[in-house]
Amino acid sequence: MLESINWIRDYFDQSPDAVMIFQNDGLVLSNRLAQHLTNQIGLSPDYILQIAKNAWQQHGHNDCANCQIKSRMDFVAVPISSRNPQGQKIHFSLVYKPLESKKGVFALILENREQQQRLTKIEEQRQLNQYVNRAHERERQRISQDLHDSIAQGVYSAIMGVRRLHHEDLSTLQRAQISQAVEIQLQETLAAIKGMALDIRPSVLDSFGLIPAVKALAKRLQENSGVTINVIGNASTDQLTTDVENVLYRICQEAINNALRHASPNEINVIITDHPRFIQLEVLDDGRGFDPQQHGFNGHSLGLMNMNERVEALNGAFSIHSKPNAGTTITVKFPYQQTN
Amino acid sequence: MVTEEPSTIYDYQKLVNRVYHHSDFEFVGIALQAELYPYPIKWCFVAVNRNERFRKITLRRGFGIAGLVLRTGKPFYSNDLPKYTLSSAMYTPIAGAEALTAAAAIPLSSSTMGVVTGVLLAGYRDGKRQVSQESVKQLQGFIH
Repeated sequence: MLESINWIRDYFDQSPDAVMIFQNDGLVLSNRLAQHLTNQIGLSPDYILQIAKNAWQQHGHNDCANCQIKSRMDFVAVPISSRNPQGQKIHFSLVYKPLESKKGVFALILENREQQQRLTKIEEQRQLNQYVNRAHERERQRISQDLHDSIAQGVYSAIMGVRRLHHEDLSTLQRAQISQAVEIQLQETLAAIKGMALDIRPSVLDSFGLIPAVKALAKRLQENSGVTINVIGNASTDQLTTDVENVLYRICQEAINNALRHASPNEINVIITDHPRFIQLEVLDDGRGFDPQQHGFNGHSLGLMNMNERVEALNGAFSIHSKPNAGTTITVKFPYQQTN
Repeated sequence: MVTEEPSTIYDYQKLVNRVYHHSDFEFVGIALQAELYPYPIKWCFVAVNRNERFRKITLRRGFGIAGLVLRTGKPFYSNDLPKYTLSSAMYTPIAGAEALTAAAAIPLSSSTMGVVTGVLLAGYRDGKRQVSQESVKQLQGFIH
């Protein structure tokens, strides 16, 4: 029994959060980290209590200035920043926990926010990873389905046509018609193969650069959707690294696809402009738009987060402007690499 | 399903108009395969179109209800058109462009070869009326 009390005391002392227990506004007990904060940084218990009370009052409950910090303070986590003796900033959130309300006993806990932030970041990263993996898998599934549905079927139909040419007793006219049908079939299959190759990795991007590749993409998506997609731009893309070109192309692809999928626009404009020190890509649609503030962990925001990460990894800047019923604009800027 | 092919442009437009006037469909269209390389399949004749987006669409065999009709040579219909998005195999561009909620499509074939060279599609926008095997029969009635 005594041993387990010792363990609890050890745990209390070694907790990563600073814990202070008060009774009637007087400090009764604090753990090692709380004492350390008081001694080293000068965060005195009275000061912390005052902050907690102020926060409580700021939440619109002035009628209770005198009473103990109410149990509803549970929901209020107050951020506190301070500096350690080395001058580095440290961040905490202050949380209130009533222990025994009748006797006026409560605890104030300073949680290390850096750790929380790090955990949130790791969680975000994990979700993002999962999203990217899932997107890759979906892409493969789509390619496989396309291969089966359009290419295998096309080749099969052509084989059937050739078989008819061989085995059936046909007039010259019929023979000509069948061979034309087979040719059309093969042409279509060829176009489908080229389209798929463009989807996977546009060879135009490697041989002719970003803008022709984006134009080819726009033409294809316009044919598939009927939505007008204009590509405007004469920016020089010679100075861009392959990585930057790839990211710009992929963002274009994803932004146009997103617009077609979610926004039902009439028109999409892709504008690529040259500036003295940077290149700018804008994808504007006149679709239904959305509220970018409302982002939780849904597919939409993870897609945006992924675009953002890809741009930032190459020192670019990514922004999105959208309002319900006012369309969406995605802007990406990349600095030109300094020559000399 | 080999049907007598109307021989001129005038006949196709007349067919579209006739379907529209003698039915309650809110949109009627015919897509045909071009006879010249690269043989694109386009919406050539429409009635009651809301915009000109149909002109930009190139149909893909095997995709969407019109595409499936072209691939299989069999009629197709769907009452869930708004459900399909761009990446779906059932996504039908004309439904997006003309805000159709339900549509039925039947093949138009060349009489000698039985090769499907076009598709006649008709549909509703109101989200209430549905298409069925009956709609398919109704459409077939116009070309027989």
